[in-house]
Amino acid sequence: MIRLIACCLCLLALTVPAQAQGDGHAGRDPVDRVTLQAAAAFSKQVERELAEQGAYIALVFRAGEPRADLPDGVRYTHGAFWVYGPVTEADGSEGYGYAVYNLYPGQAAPTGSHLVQDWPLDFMRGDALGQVGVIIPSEEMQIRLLDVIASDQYDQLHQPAYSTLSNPADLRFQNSAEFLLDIVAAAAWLTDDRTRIKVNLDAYFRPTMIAMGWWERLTAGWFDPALRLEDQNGGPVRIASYGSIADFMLTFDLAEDVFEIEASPQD
Amino acid sequence: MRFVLISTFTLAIYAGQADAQPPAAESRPAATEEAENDAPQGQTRNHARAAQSMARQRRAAGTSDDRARPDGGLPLSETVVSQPQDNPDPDR
Repeated sequence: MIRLIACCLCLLALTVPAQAQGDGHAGRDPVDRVTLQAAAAFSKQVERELAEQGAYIALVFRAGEPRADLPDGVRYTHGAFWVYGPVTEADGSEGYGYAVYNLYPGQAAPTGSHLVQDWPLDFMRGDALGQVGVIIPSEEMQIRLLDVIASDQYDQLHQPAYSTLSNPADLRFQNSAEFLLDIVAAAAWLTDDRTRIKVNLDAYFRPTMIAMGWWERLTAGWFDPALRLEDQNGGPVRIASYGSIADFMLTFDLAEDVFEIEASPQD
Repeated sequence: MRFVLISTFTLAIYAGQADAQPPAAESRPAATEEAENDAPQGQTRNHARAAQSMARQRRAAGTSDDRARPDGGLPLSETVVSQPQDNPDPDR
């Protein structure tokens, strides 16, 4: 009987949706999927690219899992704002570089999240692909986004209740991509009213659709409590992703450029 | 039928209507000025405020004189920053 139950559990585990691995759950798997040296080199490569483009702020996405493990339409699992500014050099002098503004799910309580400011190297240590997706906002949007991040609105737009598959048109949950989208929407519509943001996103934002069968929906939360679907209201599973946020920002002239960066081969 | 009508009406009151205006970043109302710098938000906000200030300066230079607009590149340190957080993320 025990063997039968074990077999059933193994079969169930195989049916868990691939997206369960999403959004920077660095604590559930080994953190460093690449060497520290490779992560440092790639993070500096991305910084260099952003600086060459004159970006004071950019949306950068990375994948913490191989593409084959991600659902169709999802290229990355975690996104954050990279913000240009002064950094302290090793000798104490002042240089310039990017800081990273993230929403991370908690490890002890994966259904909650918190806002963390860290650095490109920290961001890249969770990368599994050697590739990132980048959205550079238009010049006006860069200033508006920085206005939001530098103000209390940034904290106010955070919904600590976390779901890996959060619906961007619903207030109940948020993941890192939805948080980025909410900040973009706050900057675009010049509001910090989350209800208004959600109503507007429902009207103007085309989410990424995730194909999930009834069995996947039923078992979604069994093995990963962060896979919550209540905010999908029984309908198709809609999420914010690199692709859908890029489309939204390009459609409404909120973005100047959208591109991907491959890690340069290491010597 | 009555239930459907009541539900629709309730939803309309709850959710309101989307802005007729799609998102745009062309014009900027005067109401959204630079964030106050005296709010006690700690080091993390200082970084964003510095970027905010620099981005505004670049735009001001570009607006007054197109020739003064920088060609786009920003100076970048070669240092790889790794500064431990006061309250490190437990996931890491």
